[in-house]
Amino acid sequence: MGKTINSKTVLLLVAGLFLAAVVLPMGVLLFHAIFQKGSVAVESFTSIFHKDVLQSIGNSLIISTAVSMLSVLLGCCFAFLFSKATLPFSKALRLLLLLPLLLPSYVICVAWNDVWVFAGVHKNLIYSLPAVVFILTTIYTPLAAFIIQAGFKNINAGMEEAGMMITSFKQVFFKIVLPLLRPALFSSFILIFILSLSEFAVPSFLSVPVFVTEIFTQFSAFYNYSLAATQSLILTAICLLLLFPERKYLTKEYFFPFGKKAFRFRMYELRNKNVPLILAMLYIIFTVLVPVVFLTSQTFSRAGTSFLEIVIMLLPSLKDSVLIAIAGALIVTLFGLIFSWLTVQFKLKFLQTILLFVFAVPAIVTGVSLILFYNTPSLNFIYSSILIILIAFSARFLFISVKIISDSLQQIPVSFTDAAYMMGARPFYIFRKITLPLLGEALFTSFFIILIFCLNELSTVIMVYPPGISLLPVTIFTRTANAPQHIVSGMSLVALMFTIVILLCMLFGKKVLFNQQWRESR
Amino acid sequence: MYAFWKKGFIQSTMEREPVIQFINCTKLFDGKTILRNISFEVNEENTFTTILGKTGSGKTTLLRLLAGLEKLNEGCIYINGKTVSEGNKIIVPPYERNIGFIFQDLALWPHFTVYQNIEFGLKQKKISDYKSIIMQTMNEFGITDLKDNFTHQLSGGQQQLVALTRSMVLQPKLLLMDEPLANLDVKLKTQMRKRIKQLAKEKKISIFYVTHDHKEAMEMSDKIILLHEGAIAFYGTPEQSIYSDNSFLKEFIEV
Repeated sequence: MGKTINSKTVLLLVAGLFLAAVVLPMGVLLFHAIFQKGSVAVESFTSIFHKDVLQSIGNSLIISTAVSMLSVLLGCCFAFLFSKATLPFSKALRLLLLLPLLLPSYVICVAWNDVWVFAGVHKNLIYSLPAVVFILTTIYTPLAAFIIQAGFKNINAGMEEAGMMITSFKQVFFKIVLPLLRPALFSSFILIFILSLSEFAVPSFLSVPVFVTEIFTQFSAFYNYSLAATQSLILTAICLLLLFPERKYLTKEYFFPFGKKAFRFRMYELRNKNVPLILAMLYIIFTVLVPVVFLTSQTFSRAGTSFLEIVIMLLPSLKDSVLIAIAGALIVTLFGLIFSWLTVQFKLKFLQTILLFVFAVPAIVTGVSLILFYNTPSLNFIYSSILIILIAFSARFLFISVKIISDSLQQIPVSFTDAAYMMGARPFYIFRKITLPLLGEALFTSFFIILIFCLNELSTVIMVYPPGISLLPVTIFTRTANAPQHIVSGMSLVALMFTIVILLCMLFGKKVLFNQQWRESR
Repeated sequence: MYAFWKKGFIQSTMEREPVIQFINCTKLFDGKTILRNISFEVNEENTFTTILGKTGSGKTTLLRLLAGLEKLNEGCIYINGKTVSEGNKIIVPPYERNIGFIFQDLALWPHFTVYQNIEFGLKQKKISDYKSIIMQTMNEFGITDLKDNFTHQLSGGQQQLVALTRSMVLQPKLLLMDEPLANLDVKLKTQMRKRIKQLAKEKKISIFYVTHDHKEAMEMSDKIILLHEGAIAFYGTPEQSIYSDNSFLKEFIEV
């Protein structure tokens, strides 16, 4: 039903976006990576065996492996506590735990720097590989918990209960629950590995050389575009290669098992609720509240520039950032809706896989490819305007939007639209009256989540932001090199407060807008 | 044998126009045959036809083909002598077939109230003074008091009634029901069966009713179509089914 809604226009739009944001820029990157001055760029490829480059690749791999292992382990514990155990205050704890994931990573980095400086930690320890691993683990643990939690909710109570009739809880957990959780564990491990491998702000702030910072240096400091392109290609290849076995291994499973919920899932009564509750609270206090408190105290403890002056200093960046982020969130959500509709209506599951691969391309590589493609006389109107940033946002975040919207769209029974069609409603009317109201909450969530991501995105925008535009993450990041510590902390605090305000707007807006009576049943 | 049957069939169609006709209908999904060469006709109006069969036998697909929600791969479907689907073409779209459809999950829109659910179709048909029609029909089905409720606030039986009202308010000549009582308890099921039977009689409409419960089929139907692996294994009256020596029919009833 309804397959006639101007399909050609929709497909053209989708193809256009794909060409502009992904295919053509990546094509040019590939060309620059392989060819230099008309011949194959052998030197660029051999240069990765240089000692410094090899060290940066090694650092990247060590960080990614350690972060993904620790995050999955911690995330699994939190996911169990939040979704399978009757833990008091779990809703509030879950929300607090999520905070580091939604805050800009450079803000968290600045906050931890404040904590460590206050605690008198030696400089060699602050600017070190373990420090990067620690910060990234606090950032990605909530992501692992979030994915694994969805995995837990997918397990039908009957499967566990059938096992419990025969054996102990321990056996049931290790022999039944964990194997069923395998897709979620695997997905979160791979995703966090890729995200840590692509992380730019934290290693850069802590002066730990990684592959991403090496690419950034080659591109921005040495203007060695060919080498940067070759290194980008290698980094992308590593990320995509990681996804291939994952896709093959879990070919019939969803990458993120969101949206699918078991008919009934089993909750476990904890014998002693206090111990896990105290441990969870301690972790959250230590990883979320302590850095925020220190960031705040650092901002207000020094004489000199006041917090208000810092806010005024940041106003132009705030204004530009908000406007561009809103435009980005609107465009990404609109395309997210179109892609989701195509995925669900025409059962084009491969579209999501393609978007997942695009999402796995490191942000810095997206930046390099966009510059190489758009920095030409004929396309300069895009390169020198905010269009380049909007294209970058689309390439980076479309997968997230599609994931949120399509999971919701899949839950609308086909019979809802069929019933309307039987009564003579035209496809667009059905979409407006039936589908859209039922999708409202997903669209709203997608908009706000993408808004937060757009506001906090540093890795891509630091490469592509046009002259005359001042963006919050770039302003703060560039000031870290030369501004006094308390000003950097103050700026980070502004970014943090801003993110929290948006989060609160989202939660409050959801409560007001989507609290209609009929939703009680859903 | 087939040519003889076809000849007889053509002759019979020349004499009168059957209410429903399926001629050599085949439906495939992803290369897999769901319905194979289905041919049957319902000659009289106000016939209660039950489509019976195991899970995956093609019952729902048959109903959706009749509704026009799915395209055929081969064959023709006629309603009152008019071609509505032919080959892979939908000649008459679903909303012009004057058919009501009660889905298995009832498909009551959760964001609309009972009244808005019922109003939707009438608004599409641009019927003037539809408000009085709604009130009259709601009154008939005894759901007037529920008009401002959202559908999740209703009991299973009330939801069934709303779904029936929503379809009946458009005064269809043919009502398709896809296992509408599947989620009800035994007592409510018995009540609803009576109600549906009564409705068919009063409104003089033909009903196509999908079920896998042969007792339900025997109790309610004028005609039974038994599907097995996408083909018709039996077509006749409930009485004929009792005395039939069709092995699959016997096995199905015994199981």
